[in-house]
Amino acid sequence: MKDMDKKTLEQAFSIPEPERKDEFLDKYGSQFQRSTPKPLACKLTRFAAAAAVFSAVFFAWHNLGDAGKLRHDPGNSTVDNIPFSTSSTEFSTSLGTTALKTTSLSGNTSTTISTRTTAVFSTVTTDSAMTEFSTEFTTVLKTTDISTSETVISTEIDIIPHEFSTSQSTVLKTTEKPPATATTAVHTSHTSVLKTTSPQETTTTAAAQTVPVEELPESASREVVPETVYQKYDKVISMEELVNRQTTASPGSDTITPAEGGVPELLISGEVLENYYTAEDGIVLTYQTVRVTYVTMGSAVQEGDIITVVSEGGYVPIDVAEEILEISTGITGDVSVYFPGVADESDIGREKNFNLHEEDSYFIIVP
Amino acid sequence: MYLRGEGVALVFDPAEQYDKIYKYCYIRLNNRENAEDITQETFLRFLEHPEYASSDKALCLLYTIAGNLCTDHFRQKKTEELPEEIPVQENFEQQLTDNISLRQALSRLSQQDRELVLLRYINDVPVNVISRLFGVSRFAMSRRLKKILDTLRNYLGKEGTQ
Repeated sequence: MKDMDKKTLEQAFSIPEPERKDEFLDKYGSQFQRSTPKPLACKLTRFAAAAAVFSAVFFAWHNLGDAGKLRHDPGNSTVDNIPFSTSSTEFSTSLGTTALKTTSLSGNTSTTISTRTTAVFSTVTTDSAMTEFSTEFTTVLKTTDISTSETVISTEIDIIPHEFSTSQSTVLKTTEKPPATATTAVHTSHTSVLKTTSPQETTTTAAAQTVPVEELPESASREVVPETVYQKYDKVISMEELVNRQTTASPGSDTITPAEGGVPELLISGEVLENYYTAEDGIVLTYQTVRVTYVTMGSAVQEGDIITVVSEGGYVPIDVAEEILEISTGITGDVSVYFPGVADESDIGREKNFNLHEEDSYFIIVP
Repeated sequence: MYLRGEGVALVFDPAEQYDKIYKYCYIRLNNRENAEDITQETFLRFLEHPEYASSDKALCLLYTIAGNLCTDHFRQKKTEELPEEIPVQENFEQQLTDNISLRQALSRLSQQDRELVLLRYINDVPVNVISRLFGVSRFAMSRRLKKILDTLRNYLGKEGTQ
């Protein structure tokens, strides 16, 4: 909402100004600014520890080879490709080297902290079923007595490679490769597309149940395409992983609540034709174009109709995800972030059952 | 950047949020004196809670406290329910401005819808905070806010043609 509109709206409410605000803030304002400063060295030590843990994660990741076999290359700070399959794709991020040298307030001790962080991330697209993998590591932070003239913080890493599993603890998530015809949904990101199709006139000669779909009379098309459609990139990371990288995650990153409540008005089976990924008001949404194949309950649609089903969750570019989650990861490039939801890329071309509630121009999923 | 657990300054500006909480209380109570009392009580009670590093959680807590205090105020005073219409404005001259149509349109909304309009479009409370306050999903709240705006536009459109 524009500032002028906001001001107009505010004036329309005609709310009088408070009279005792200054008095209250003069009296209690200081209580709202509380801080307990810590010694500088302790703050820097904590920062270094966090950086060391972070670098250990990427170091471990960098050294994972095929089938979980370790590959040590400690002196190599370049980015390597670690393919897991012939169709793997990868991206990498290098965080460079940080070195910090400080002197404590008393001037008697000095602290030297250095870390090197080089990260290699691989996303894997396989032809097999959904694959999730994770890695565990333990990090030991060793500090010497601060009374000495120099303190060095180093890390020891014990890497425990995991076999591939289908557990729910996701670091990177790979999905089954959908049919080729459905994967290249070409929608350039951040473009505005508004497409509505007025319902076509249906004939009164309703098709018999046994008539093939192609011979059915013209069905209504109520497809709705969002104004902004985001492309799903090959490189995908999950929302949870993005949030876990931050020490102060926004509460907006909590799990979605797809339950809308209420009794569904429409129970149908439908074939998912297309997925459109978007975000509105900070909520990641998927618009699914569905062709109705069977109506179990309800009269809002009939077989053959094309409708749009909207649900929370989906894929957004990394910069949009960071804006929604109010975080900053430094990841750049063509990366999509997956927000969990009921719709998925693998739905395309498949028939699903839907419990729906009708909104103005589309339908939403109800439990 | 700050780390959870340390003593940190609050994640919002008290002066700014005082105005916003006061506006919310005024919409609920329709009385400046009571609204200001409850606003101050809200902040004092907020101080009794542990610090939040997240601004959204802090906002959610502020509005929850304010909302509960407003509800308690009604129960204690046993006042009549607020009428649907906004009462006659104190400043008569304001009625002569171009905002009359919008004011009338607002008066036709339900009390809860007026609160939502104030929270979202005047106080800039994030949708996820409002959805938590009202116990609905973010998607549901987003749709409801859109419907409210559409309703206002319809009201304004009809009044414009009269």
